[in-house]
Amino acid sequence: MTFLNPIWLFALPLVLIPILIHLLNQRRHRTIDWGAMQFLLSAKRMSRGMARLKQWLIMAMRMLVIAGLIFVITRPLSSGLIGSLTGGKPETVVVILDRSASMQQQRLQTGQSKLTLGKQKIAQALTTLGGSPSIVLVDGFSSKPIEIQSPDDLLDLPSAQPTEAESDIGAMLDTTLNYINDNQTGRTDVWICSDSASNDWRPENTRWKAINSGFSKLEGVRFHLLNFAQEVESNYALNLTRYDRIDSDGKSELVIDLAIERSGRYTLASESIPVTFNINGIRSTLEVDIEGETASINGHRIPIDPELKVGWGKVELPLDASPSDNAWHFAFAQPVPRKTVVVTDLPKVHRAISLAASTAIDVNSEYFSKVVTPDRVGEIDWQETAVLVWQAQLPDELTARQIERFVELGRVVIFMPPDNPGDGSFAGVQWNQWSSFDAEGAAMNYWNNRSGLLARTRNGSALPVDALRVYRHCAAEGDLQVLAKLKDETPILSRANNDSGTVYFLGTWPSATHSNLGREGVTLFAMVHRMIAIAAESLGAAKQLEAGTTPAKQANQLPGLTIEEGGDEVLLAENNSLRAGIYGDEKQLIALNRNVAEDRAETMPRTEIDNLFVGLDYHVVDEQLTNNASLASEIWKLFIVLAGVALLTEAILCMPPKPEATESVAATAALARRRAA
Amino acid sequence: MHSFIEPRVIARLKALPFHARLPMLGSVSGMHRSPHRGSSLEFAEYRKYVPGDDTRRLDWRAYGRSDRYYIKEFEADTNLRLCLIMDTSGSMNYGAGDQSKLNFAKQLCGTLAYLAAQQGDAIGLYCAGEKFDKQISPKRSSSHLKTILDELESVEAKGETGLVAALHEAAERIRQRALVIIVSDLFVEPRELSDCFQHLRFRNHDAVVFHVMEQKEIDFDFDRPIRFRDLEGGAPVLADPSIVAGDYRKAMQQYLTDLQAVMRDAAVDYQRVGLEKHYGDVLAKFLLERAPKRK
Repeated sequence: MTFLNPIWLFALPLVLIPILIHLLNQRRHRTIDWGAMQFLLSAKRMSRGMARLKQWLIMAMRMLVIAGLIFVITRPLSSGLIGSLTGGKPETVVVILDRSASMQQQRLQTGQSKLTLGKQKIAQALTTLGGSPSIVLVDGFSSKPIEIQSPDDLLDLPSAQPTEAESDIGAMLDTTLNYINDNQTGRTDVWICSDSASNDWRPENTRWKAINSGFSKLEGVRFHLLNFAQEVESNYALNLTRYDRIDSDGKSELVIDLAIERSGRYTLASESIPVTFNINGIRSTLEVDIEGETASINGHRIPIDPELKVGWGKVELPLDASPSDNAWHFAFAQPVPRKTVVVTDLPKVHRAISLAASTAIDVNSEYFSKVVTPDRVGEIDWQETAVLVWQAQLPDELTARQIERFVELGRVVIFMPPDNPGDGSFAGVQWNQWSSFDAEGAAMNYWNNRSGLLARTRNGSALPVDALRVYRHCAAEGDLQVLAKLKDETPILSRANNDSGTVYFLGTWPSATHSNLGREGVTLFAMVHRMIAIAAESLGAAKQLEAGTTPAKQANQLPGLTIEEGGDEVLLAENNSLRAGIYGDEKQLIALNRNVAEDRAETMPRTEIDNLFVGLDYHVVDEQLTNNASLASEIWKLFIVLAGVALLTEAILCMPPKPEATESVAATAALARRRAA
Repeated sequence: MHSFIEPRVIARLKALPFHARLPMLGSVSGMHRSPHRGSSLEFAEYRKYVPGDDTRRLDWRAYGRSDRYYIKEFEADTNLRLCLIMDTSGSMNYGAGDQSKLNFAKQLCGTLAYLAAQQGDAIGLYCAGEKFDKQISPKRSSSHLKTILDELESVEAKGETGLVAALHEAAERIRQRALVIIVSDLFVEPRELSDCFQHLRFRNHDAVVFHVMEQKEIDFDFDRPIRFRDLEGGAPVLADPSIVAGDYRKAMQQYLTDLQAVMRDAAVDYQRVGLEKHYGDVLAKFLLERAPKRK
């Protein structure tokens, strides 16, 4: 519990007043001569039980009355997040909202999502606490702190609305740290509203150490985490695994593979779910039987107009507790070749990669690779290239800018170390020196199997990463998110922490002298094709992108399509890239969807959160969708009632017992009557 | 004149006769019924003549009507022995304002002694304090009345009560049947008193008890913690009336109930009097209750 006027707590010793009065009364007794001592002694013997208890109760009630009144003056607040506040109002409040898709999980009865409830609670708490602090909302997607006038603005600001993108809580805390350092904000409270999903927090990211260290140097910064870690009771998640346009015999069809996952209390029952398809405005429905946790529909064919070269579609499930994973948008056009360019002058490096990249896994698309030596980089056709594999000295400034633009379009780059690492860097990352392991090589100690290049396959099978051995490696150093580590904790596969696109660093070669990546080809094959798949989404006239990513920003320049009346709402153009939907025109379409990692968002255990904030002043409040109680409601009325009840009880206890009609009293009364007569 | 004798009260009570309930054995003629037949004007009964009876008392009219000899008998009136037993234990010093229980007892005893002396009864006084040492045997003379009043004037209340022993001793010492009037606050266990009164009753005494109490002793209506100093010399007691008052009243009520039962069983004329009453009223009521009912 905390108090708006905590100074009055110093008045709490006043509850001892009844005891003092009692003691003074005991000392101020008078002395009288008395004859009937036998009755007095008898009464004293008898009164050691209930009567004494009654006296103590009366005293306790009196103390309670005083305590209640003092608490009323101190204006207590109900416990909750701010239960940790021990006095002192902040000069600045920084609000960090996890606007990821998983925060759209809602309570079906009220339609209130985790994000909405969290915003309301924070706004209400800030209003109640008062003190007029500066309120700053950190926009995780523009990395800009936005100063707001009133806590209620949190509810309506575009930068506080839900998105289908992934959040990066670490990046937002980094922005917060910079803001505090730049503006010398004084005593600062940082409020974080999140569901503690691992993919939004990325606890394995090396950035956290710097964040923790940065905040440790500051004084007067407190963190409050509204933790909506509770998972929804029941949920269906839809994921399109394939949508191909097939032209044959003058007919055109869309072939769709989809998967439905369900979780919660429905997992035991067998049932049929209506799946709605909307292809360029034409609707159809398919009943999908689901038994167990997943159901898959493969090869569902929907005829389309052969003349339709570019189109869009939306597949949808009925509304449930997690609306963000109920729909999937897609755009289709004529397939384009999927080209991989390998920049190297070492055949042993490009051999395995080229083989993997030119192997078609989709019969409707053409796959091929091209090897370019470092001195002929200028020949690369950046527009048509999907994946760039760079095994050479890190690019010079001009080439680096070209590669940055390349990844901003949604393409993928993977760097491998040169034979002699130089001083060059890319996106703040540079190569260390080569080092060798023994003949048996080093196995993997850790790899991220939830998302990224080494994630499990769609059917849940793990890649044989544990079979990999690295004989020579060269670690990348810089602002990186580690995806795989060797046994000596050296990162072997990392992703650059740049917001502009997908850049990987692989610290070895797929050659027999450096690793068995080429010999145990499954993992390398999967990695290459996953990179191609990521990049392919941004190729051609129909792009399939992930909301919130840099390539998705192309949608900000395009109009949103209102797919159905009252359906997908098109937000401000600057936020198009954050919302799932179809954007574009007849020539170019961009379909934005949530990051599928949000569907399987694993909640970080409390210990992991503790590790991130170790050494910092932080407090976690576990929230639930069903808990509408405000964080900081004033509860002085409760103490008024308490004091009133105590007062009433004291009065009842003090009431003299019903007088017994004694003979002597009756006689006295009779005499008085006679005298009066 | 003694301070506890008020001529106004004496004048008021003089008109009321002072009777014993039981027949008394007096030495001279008086106002009280005797167990023996006598020569008063009040007819008692007829009985058959037996040889040796005084022929002067034969009822010749009855002989004329029935041809049998009957003796006509009349009641005998005699005087009584009034034994006043006054409790002089320390607790009798308690009172309200200027009136203490001891003073009230003196007023009762002094006035009764005066009234009894006026109608020719013998008066004795026994003071039951810690010891039963002040004893004045009953005599009927005006100088004896002065002795008793002087003794009442000088007596003081102190020490623990020795009432139980005093009553047993009095029951033994007073040989002839007498009217025994006890004035006390009776702060003794009722069952102990029961034995005393049965003893008095066994000796054919007509026992009267004036139970003198102050109203505060019954109601215990104090409002602040008080140190109670024992008038009979015991250890003082500090008590908070708000805690003990209820239990005190319960104990007092139980005591009064038990006491009444004891008095009823021993056929004692029990009069509970409070200090708020005037002793004149108390005595007037007492004498009126004892006056013989006219047929």
